[in-house]
Amino acid sequence: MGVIGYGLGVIGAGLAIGLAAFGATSAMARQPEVQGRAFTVFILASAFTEALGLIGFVVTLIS
Amino acid sequence: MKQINRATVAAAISSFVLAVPAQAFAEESSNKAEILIPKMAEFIPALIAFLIIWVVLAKFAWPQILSMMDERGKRIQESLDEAETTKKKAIASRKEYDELVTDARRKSADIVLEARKDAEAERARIIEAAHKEAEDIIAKAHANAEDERNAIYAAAAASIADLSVSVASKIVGETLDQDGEQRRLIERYVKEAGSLNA
Amino acid sequence: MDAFAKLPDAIAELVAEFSSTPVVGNLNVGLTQYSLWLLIAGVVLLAVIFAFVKKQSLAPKGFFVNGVEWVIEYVEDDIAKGVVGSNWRQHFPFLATLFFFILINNFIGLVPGMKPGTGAIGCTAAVALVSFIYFLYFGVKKHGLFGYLKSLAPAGVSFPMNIFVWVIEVFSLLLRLVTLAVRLFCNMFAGHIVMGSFAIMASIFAQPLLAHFSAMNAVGALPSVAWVLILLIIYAVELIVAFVQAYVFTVLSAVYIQIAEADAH
Repeated sequence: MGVIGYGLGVIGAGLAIGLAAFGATSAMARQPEVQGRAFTVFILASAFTEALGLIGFVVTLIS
Repeated sequence: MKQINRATVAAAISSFVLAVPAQAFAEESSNKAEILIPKMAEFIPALIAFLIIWVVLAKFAWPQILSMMDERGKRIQESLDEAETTKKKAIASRKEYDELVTDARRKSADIVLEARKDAEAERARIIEAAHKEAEDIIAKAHANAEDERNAIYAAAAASIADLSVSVASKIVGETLDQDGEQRRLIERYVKEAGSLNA
Repeated sequence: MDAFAKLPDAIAELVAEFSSTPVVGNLNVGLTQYSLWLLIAGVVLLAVIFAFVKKQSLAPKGFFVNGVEWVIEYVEDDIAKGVVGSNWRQHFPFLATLFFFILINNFIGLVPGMKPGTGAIGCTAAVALVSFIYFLYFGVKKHGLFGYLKSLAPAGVSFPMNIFVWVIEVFSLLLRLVTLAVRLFCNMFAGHIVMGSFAIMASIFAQPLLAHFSAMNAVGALPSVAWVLILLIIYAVELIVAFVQAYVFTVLSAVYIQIAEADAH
């Protein structure tokens, strides 16, 4: 059961990282001069999102 | 141990979960989370190792590396500045040279112009002198010719007068007075005739 | 299919290999295989950095010096200057050590037969704890203990709400420690499990062919070609992940330091 729950939870995290990547790539395409900053922000956003997925992973293992 | 393993695999790769769902669910148990509990045997050495590496690198490595990088940046900046000043200097001296060259060129043009003017004047003067001389020579020649002609006329008039006197005395039969009234008459006549012919 | 039947047991064996087992002493006092590789990675790191310091010159020459220089400059410009800001010089030693320590550990783990020092929660928790205490220390140093605790709650929130927000902020502060450790551990652990699984699948499918050559076994071994291809692709991805995780850990630490030292929250 936990595994199924984790799979469901990861859908959200996956969508979120995809959205972050979408935003970052379109920002870079529109303004290539802010590439470095956009990349850092993207990595940060992905890291925060990933944290949610990882919490799901941990909860799966613990429950 | 096996239970944990099953669970982790299940979480990590869902494709295998599909292959072994029965076992994974059957072997769920409470010590699954064990893999997420830090073990002291890993925690303490990692902590000590990291702290030691941090202190050692912060003391002996990073300051040198940073100062080397700063030094390099400074050097690059310096050489850039130097190149800039050299370039400026080169541009300035180039301008100076350009000015010099323009000046010299202008001066030489002036000189040439002046020389040409001088030459022109000289030439005019020489031509003028030559003209004058030629005119003088011609005038002198004319005067000479006039004198000569006058002399010749005079001589011719005298001889004609003598001849006429002698012819007339032969015809008249009497000697006309050589230096008398007749001779002056003839001479006047010849002169009139010469001036008419002349 | 015979091979599929063998798979669960083989993978269980693989995962058992991945759980911490003591090499010296026991799980409380001693060294597990992960801490052993972590110490080896530490020695490699020191060797690499000091070799670099020795070889570094005003005009960098050679692949090694240029490569290390590029990475150091990346950490300096992108993380230290880009995130921490004006007082990056103070934090650069910590951030650079953090980055190179994690990077070397991750790459050591990618060599077949070696384990990543960051592949056990104990090791990543230690590094995360150091980072956690580091940014707390600088926050307290900047604002004072009470001032730092107060700066956790955003200014401009009215009385009853700001206590609630403060509790949430403190909770998320503590969560940073957990997420830092768990993120790095999970990425390394899951990546190695996946790579190991594909390696095992390739060998299981090829085994009958090696034992007894026949047309039937040859057809059965065909999938292992695909597994090896996938393994190579995942290996390439893991090379990127090793770098990205070191970067993420360092950037997050830098961000936490920057937030802790920020003037107005």
